[in-house]
Amino acid sequence: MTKNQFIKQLAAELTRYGISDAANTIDYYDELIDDRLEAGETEAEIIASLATPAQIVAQLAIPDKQVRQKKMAPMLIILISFLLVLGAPLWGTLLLTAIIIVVLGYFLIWLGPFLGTIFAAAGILGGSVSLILSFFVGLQEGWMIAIMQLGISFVMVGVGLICAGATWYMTKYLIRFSVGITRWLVGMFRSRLKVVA
Amino acid sequence: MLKNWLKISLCMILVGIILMTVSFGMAGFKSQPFQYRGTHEWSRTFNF
Amino acid sequence: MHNIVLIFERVIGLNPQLKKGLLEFCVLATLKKEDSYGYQIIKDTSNVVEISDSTLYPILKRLEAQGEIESYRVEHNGRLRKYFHLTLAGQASIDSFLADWPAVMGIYTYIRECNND
Repeated sequence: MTKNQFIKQLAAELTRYGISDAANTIDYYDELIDDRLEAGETEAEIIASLATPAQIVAQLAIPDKQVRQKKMAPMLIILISFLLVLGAPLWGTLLLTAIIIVVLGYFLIWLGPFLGTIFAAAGILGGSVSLILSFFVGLQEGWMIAIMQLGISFVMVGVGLICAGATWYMTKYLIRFSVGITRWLVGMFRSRLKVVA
Repeated sequence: MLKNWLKISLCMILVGIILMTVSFGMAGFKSQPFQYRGTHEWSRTFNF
Repeated sequence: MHNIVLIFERVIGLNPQLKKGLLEFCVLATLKKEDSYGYQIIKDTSNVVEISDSTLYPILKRLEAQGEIESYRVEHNGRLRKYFHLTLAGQASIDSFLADWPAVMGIYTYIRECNND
C-alpha cells in the first residue's frame, strides 16, 4: 500500500464512523509518514508498521469512558435512607402509579395488534366459509341471493387480509418500539440509581 | 412485488362490491328480496 | 534517572492499564525540554518506552483537549508540521504526578512485602 492509498482508506474509514476531527487525524498520519520518509524509511516499511486504517479508527471511535461517580458522605446516605423510609407512603404510591401507567401503556400499545389479529382471523375465516357456502345458498335460495353473499364474502376476505397485513407491520414496528422504550426506561432507572448510589 | 397482499385485498374488495351491486341490480335496486323471511330458532341451530 | 528507566521498563512490559497512564506523563515530560512534533516525540521517548504511532495520536488529542498542551504549525520542507507546547496546566500535571509517586512507591513496597510473606 502506498501513502496515498493509506490516507485515502483512513479518510474513508473516518467518514464511515463519523469521527469528529477527521482532518486532524489525517494531518497527523500524513505528517508522521513524511517525517519517517525523511528519516530514510521506505514507504512500504512505514505503512506496514502502522496499524491499519480500520484499527486506527476503531481505537478513536471508542472514547475513554471516564465514569465520574459522585461519592457521597456517609451521613448524607444515612439521611437519604432515613427520608426514603419515612416517605414510603408517599413515594410508594407514586411508584405504584408509575408502574401501573407503564403497564397500561404497554397494554394500550398492544391492543392494536390484538384487535387487528381478531379482525383478520374473523374476516379471512368467516369470509372463506361464507364464500364456499354461497354456492349451496345459490342452489337453495336462488342465484341473486348467492351473488350477494359471494360479494359480501369477497369483501370480508379482502378486509381480513388488509387487517392481517396491517397487523403484521404494526407488530413489527411495535416490537422495535417496545424494545426501544423498554431500554430507555431501564436506562433512565439505572441512571437514577447511579445518582443515588 | 411490493405489498402484493394489499393489491390482492383491494381487488377482492372491489370484486365483492361489484358482485354486491350486480346482485342488488338483479333485485331491481330494492332491498326487500334480501330481507330475512320466516323464523329461525337459534336454539335449534346448536341443538344436535 | 537510570533507576526510573528500569522501573519503567518493568512496568511497561506488564500492565497496559498502568502504561496508558504513564505514557501521558512521558509525552508531557518530553515537551518540557522543548516543543516537539509527533515523530520526534516517539523518537525521544523510544529509549524509555515504546509508543506506537497509533497510540500517540489519542494521547496528544486528549492532552490538547484537556489544555495540558497546545499546538501550532511550522513550515518544514514545503509542508506544515504540528508542534506541541507544554502549558502551565501540563506543567502542573507533571508536578502532581511526581508528587504522587512516593505514594505509589509506598503501595509498591506494601504489595511486595505482602507478596514476600
